Amino acid sequence: MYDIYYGLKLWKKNKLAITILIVGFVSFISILYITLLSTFVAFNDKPDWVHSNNNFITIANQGNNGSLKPANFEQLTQLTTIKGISSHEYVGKFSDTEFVYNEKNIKVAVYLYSPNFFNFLGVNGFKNIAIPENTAILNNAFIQKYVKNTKQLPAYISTKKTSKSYHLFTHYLPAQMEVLGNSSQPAIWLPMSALKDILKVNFNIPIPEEQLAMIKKTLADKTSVFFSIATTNQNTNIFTIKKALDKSTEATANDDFKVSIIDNKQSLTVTKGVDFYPEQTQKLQQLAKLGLLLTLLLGCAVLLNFFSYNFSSIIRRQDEFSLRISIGATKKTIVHQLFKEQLPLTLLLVFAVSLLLFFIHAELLNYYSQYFAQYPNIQLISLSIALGFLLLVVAIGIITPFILINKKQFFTRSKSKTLSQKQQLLLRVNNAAQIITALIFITISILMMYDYWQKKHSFNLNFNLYEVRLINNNSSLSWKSLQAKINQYFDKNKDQIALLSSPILEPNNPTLNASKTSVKAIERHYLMSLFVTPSFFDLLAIPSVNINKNNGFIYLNNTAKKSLKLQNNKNEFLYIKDNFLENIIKDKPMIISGFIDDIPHLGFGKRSPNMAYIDYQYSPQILNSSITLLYSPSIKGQMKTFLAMLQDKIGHNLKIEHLGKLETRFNQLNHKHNLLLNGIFIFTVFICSMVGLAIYALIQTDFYANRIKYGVWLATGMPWNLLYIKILSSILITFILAATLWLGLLQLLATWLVEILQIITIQKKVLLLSFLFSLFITVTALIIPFLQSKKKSITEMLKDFEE
Amino acid sequence: MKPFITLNKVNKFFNKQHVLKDISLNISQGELIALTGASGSGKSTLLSIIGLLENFDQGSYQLLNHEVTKFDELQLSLLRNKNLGWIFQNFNLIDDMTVLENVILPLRYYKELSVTQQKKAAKKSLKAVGLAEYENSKPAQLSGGQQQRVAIARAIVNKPEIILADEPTGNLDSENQDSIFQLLIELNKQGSTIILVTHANELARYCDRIINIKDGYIMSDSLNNNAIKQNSNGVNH
Repeated sequence: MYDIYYGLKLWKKNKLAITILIVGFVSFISILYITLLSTFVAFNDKPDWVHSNNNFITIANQGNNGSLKPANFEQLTQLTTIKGISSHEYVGKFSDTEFVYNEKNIKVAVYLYSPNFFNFLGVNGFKNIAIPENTAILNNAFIQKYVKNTKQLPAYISTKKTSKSYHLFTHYLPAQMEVLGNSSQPAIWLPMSALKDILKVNFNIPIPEEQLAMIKKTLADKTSVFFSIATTNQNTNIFTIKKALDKSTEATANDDFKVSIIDNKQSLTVTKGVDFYPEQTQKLQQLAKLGLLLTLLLGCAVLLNFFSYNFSSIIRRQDEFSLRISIGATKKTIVHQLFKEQLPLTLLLVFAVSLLLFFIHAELLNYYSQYFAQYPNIQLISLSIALGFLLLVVAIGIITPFILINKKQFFTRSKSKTLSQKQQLLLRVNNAAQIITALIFITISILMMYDYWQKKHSFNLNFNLYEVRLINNNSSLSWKSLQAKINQYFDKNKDQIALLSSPILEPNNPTLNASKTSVKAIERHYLMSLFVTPSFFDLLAIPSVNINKNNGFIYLNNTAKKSLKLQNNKNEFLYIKDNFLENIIKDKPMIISGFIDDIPHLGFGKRSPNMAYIDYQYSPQILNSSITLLYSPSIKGQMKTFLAMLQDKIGHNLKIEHLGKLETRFNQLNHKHNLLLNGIFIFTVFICSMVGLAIYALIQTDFYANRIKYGVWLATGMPWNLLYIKILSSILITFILAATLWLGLLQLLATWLVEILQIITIQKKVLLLSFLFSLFITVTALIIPFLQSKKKSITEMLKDFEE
Repeated sequence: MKPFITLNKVNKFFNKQHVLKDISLNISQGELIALTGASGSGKSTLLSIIGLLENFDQGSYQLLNHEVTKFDELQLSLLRNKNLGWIFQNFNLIDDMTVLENVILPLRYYKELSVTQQKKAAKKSLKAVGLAEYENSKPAQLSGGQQQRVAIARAIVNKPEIILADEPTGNLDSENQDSIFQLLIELNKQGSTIILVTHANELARYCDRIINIKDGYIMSDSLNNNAIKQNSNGVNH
């Protein structure tokens, strides 16, 4: 307001300056708008699952229509008292949440697992992992179908006794993990014994005999096979699921069941749960701390600014208050007046700022920890801090008038418009605190950027804490050479690797501990050959599939190939996921977007990694209506056969697009990275330009506002250049304070925005022009005030503008 | 006496308005000159040009035998600082600073004196204007006459040859007017050349020379043989 006031005064004198001021102001508003827009986009440009309804809740509601417990409830659930399950070392440790329902002598346990659970399994080689025996995984899609077809709710989740641990280190599990990984969310497990019936009911198709045989054999061998039918909704909160389970259990129970619930006042309760394994928890805590620190600093900045505002407001109005006192006002009435004036503004301002900060930081944290989006505590903590600051600032806002108004000196020096020494000291302390806060914030922002940058670009083997990272600096992209490098590393460090890729390859995923001495070398190779996870494709930006938009997807394996009557010489596997077969049968449309055919043979030992692979949807920028099949040249012929079969089955609905070689894909990815950098650069250029304009405008208005003082300085012999430096330095400090938030946040938001919006049409010429423009604006902004101020007449400056 | 301010056909335009027209003027050391004229006549502009606060458009101006148009900004600043002392109608004291700090101001830019020496010089200057006891006060705590005395102390702290005063008593009551004027006369007697702008004829009559400006022209430039100069006791000479 101060600037605007003097800006208007200036209008008569210097139209150019005020024009620049207006441009600067508009630019500032533009930046604000862009920030809000990007925030909006970031909030809304999410995968569909973000906006989709909570299916599980819907199902639970459907359960209220009178359809109660499934007729085959007991058979379906095979309820058995659980013994020892909680004593197992891993269940408690890795399950996200365990719900146990006690009903008579039966315990119904629901385990909600996040993909991290399985990631962890992968990393650690599945040693001593106990999965409840005969367990299948159920999800919303399935439940919906089940409910639709049977008018019954299958929300009776159960396990059989799990007192025994099994080694699940089978080749089935990695594939299963991929499916689970797709969910990114808790899954609900059902007894495997129910699977057959479930499949029949839902899809009206039998489980292939081979598959059943395989399952039976696996069960007989005391190993477990998991079939993922589907998963829960991505953002479904664990506690929402619990609530839904409670509700559906109650709604679908028979009378005895209901009575017991009501009588005992029991419902599904969280009995134990560890959200993530330690590394992830620690990572999240770090993120939370970082977010809190940022919120804290920004809150401090707001607080100090608001304090300054109050302070300067009171100082400015000394004459008014003196006058009021002279006509009969008391200190009490003055305080009362200030209180009334400032309280609404305080509340409004602080509420708005806190809310904005909260959302920005919540989203920033969400962005940085996107694979843990379901984790709610970060935002709650941020909210608490924001609210805490709100209260604090309100308190300070209320107290400030009392502090300042009670100074006797203030009233005794009614003529003086100057500050007392104490007031000056207070202001200096305030300014110093603001500068320090700003510097800390800038540092934090730079560190965050640096961290982001590192994660984006540090794909090398230079890892210390058993991290596994894929290198991309090898132009040949030979897996063998990569393998050689990895081996070289491990040989050198006597460490062992359990996993190649996996979440580690994801830019924002926490670092996993990939070293376990128990993992043998052969296992290591085995895992490396199989564990090319979605991250791998994510990293390569290979188009992936969105389960919510597609009718199913596939990946090859041995059994499925058999079922499809393909030749199987190399022991590949086909896993069937979701309703893919059904769709094929029903001629529903499918899109296969591409094939990458140049993966060198990954084989280690006898096992072939020649699997067609389906990536899954992790981020909105990845194509979400496609399927990617990845295969090696060795099975190229078979793939063609398979595709021919698909083509025959699906006909015109199958759209095949060849994406080319993996190396090309890498190049495309690098190109994308470059474009991302370009985007950051352009935003930086934009901000720099605005900074230049703003500095110019600020200098102009400051020059006008203080022109009498400056005029005296000049009249008494101060050189122009010294004056200019003085003004510029004071303006820069002010500007740093004002622009800190925007510069810091905009950098982050800009990278974010560019990535989300996929700004990929930036040309080098545009970049160059932008840069030159930025340079021009910035230099001009710094030089023109100097040149212009030299032209100013000192006598003009010395005239009191109030005349 | 050798002139050390020489203006030759100086012209000044403000937005195509011709405010000073062919001003030619010689001023010698030790003169006490009044520039008089109606409002808008151009007298203040002439003073500003003489005092190096304003540029002129045509003509030449020699100050202390130097052609000022050949000086760059830094040299002009130096001249303003060392050789000129300005006194303004509205005092132009900086409110944030104490009286002493205001007076020290001209000594700060080129730092030929140590801080202690600067303070000493400023105190001496304040003593000369009779405000030694107010050095720690803020300008707002002083009366108008006192503020103008501070401004005079600031103007003379660098011992300039020329003191320029733009309506120095314009904002003062008659008592203070006399007081300030006596101070100026005293400075003039000590050797300073004083050029002041006033439209008050009763003040001009104290001056040795009265230059009347009208519509940008020098209408008259006459010695005031009847100049009334008083000593500090108020006795006419």
